[in-house]
Amino acid sequence: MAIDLHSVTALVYLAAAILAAVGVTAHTRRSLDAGVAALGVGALLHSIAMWKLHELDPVPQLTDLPFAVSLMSWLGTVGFLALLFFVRGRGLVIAVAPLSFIGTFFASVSFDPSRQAASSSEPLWSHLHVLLASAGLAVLGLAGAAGLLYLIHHRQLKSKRRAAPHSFLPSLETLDRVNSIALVLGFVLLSLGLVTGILFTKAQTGELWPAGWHANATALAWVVYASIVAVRFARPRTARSAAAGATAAFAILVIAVIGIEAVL
Amino acid sequence: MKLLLMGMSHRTAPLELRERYAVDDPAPIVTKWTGEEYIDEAVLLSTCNRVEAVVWTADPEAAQLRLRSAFERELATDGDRPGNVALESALYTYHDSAAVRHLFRVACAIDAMVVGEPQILGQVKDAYRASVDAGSCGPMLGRLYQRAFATAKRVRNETRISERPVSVARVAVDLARQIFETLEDKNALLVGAGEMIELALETLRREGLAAVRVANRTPARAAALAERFEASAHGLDEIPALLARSDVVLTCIGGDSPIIRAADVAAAIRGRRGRALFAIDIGVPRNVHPDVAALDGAYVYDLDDLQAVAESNAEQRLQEVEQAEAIAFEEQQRFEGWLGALAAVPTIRELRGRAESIRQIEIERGLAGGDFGDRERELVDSVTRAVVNKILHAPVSRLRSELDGAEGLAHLEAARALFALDEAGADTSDDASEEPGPKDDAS
Repeated sequence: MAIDLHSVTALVYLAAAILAAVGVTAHTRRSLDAGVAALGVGALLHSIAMWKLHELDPVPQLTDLPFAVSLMSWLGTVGFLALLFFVRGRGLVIAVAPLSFIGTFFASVSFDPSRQAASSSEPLWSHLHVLLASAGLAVLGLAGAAGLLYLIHHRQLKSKRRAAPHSFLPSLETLDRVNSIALVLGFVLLSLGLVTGILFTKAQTGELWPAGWHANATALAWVVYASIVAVRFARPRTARSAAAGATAAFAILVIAVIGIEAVL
Repeated sequence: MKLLLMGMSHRTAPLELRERYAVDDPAPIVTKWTGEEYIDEAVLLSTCNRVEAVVWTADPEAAQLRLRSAFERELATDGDRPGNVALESALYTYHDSAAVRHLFRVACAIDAMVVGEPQILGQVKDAYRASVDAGSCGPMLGRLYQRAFATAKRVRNETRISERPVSVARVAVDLARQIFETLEDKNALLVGAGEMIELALETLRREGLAAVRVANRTPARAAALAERFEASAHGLDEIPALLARSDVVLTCIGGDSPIIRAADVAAAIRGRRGRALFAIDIGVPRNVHPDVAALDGAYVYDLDDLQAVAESNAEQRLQEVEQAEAIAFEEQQRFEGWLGALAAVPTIRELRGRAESIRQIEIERGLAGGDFGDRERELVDSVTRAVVNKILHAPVSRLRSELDGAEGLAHLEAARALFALDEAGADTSDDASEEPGPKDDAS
């Protein structure tokens, strides 16, 4: 039931992504609104699906990658919907909905009940680590999405020929603000996730730094984010660089946290 | 008809070429043209987006050569003549009906960069007034332009083309919203004090910008404008300092060289802590140096850039444009009908003259041998006059009324041929007073 619901949620997110794409490219407000509404419905279904996962016996652990990815998608989607109450950024749905779809789809096809049973007794640190890292990844995903849209919109406005006076993409100022806030919040969460990960490793192995690609690549992503945040606040006139950095850093982070784990 | 229109617009010529044809005062030019042999009446329209000469001429071919020569040699402002190839592809020429139609489309803002914009009609009126004041506009162009203004009024009243007034200022605001989340905490700098700046001030004030500043070469004009719109007035020398405090910049001011330089904008952006600067340059020649557009954080739109933006606006107004086109076509036909009626006047006059001449000859011939008193003569005169009038009434009325239609000119030519009006000496010849034959007598 929980996995089926994930599949349905993924489909609804996909519909939201298509509606948003039609709304932005064909300049149809109704379609964009429908995309946001579909994302809201998807978030609701996703919440139910997450709840249903907790009703499974044994309950899947947060350290299970599909569950963690699903959690990331859910946090990112809900976080975005909450953000809409504060900023005029409905156009961001064109970037958020596909990310939500990819995360949920990956989770729905990757759940493995046998692996859930094997990992049923994880310590508290590991849960905290996954929770914080997932939240950080979701928020940094939002920063990356805002950064990517900033670059696209900036290019549209600079090239002029493609600039429409009533484009549904959020304004550059809005995208920069979302990028800026999400970058700081995401960096804090990612840092906490890193610290809890170290504590988890120490509790399990007695060592401070675990060997392996996941830890090394995540550390690299953290360094990149630290640089972006530092540059962002030391030299505030680099909105476009920050947008490009947030987009690139998120790609590194996804490869570090999800890509390598999924492959290895 | 001997109407000729020659010009270039945003549709045919790039801004680099158009800005060399900015004519501040068309009066001396049209006066010169009408003082010459081939051109009877002339109006010269020069706006940011078009330069067009409309002339009424007895010799269209000679007038066309004269206007072409004017575009090649006289109208370019910077002394650097444009190449023939560039001019060849930029210039368009319309004759008669096509010229009327084009002028009506321009006046109705159908052909405008921002479809339905209200400014162009005022600019056409200004060009017309300048020509009238210079004594270069006579009854023919006078009638044409009055018809164009009436057509524009009809389009505005009968279509929704101006329901949501769209102007360059409106497009500027919409584009500014693509850059800034809100305009309420933003500052605007307007450079110039002309009509476009006044309209922009009105629009920006409605948007509720935090502060609006007006900079002009003549501070007194800036002050007068600023006072009306609760803005502050400045001189052009203050612009570098004002740029750092401005988010939206709109320029429309005369001058040979750019008012806003890349170095000033680069310095301003450095002082703005990453905030973007959005500039709309509707000056011709351009007021913002082209290098400014390359600066990161600066978004600059000139008139050609706005054209691409305005095309989406035109698509949205397609239905209104179709209605406006229909009105313009209807009014074009009405004007051509009036011109046709003018052409009918000599024909009708000749027709009546021919009939009167025949009547007189036949009366003289018929009464020559008889002993008729004044009363009888008057009676014959009155009866024959009535007969002639009754016979001519239907064809003359028909000629007048049908000239509005497509077949009017054909009927006019038919009348001239049937009554042999173009044949010398035909009016009083014996053929014209042909005796009725036996059959006619019998009937």
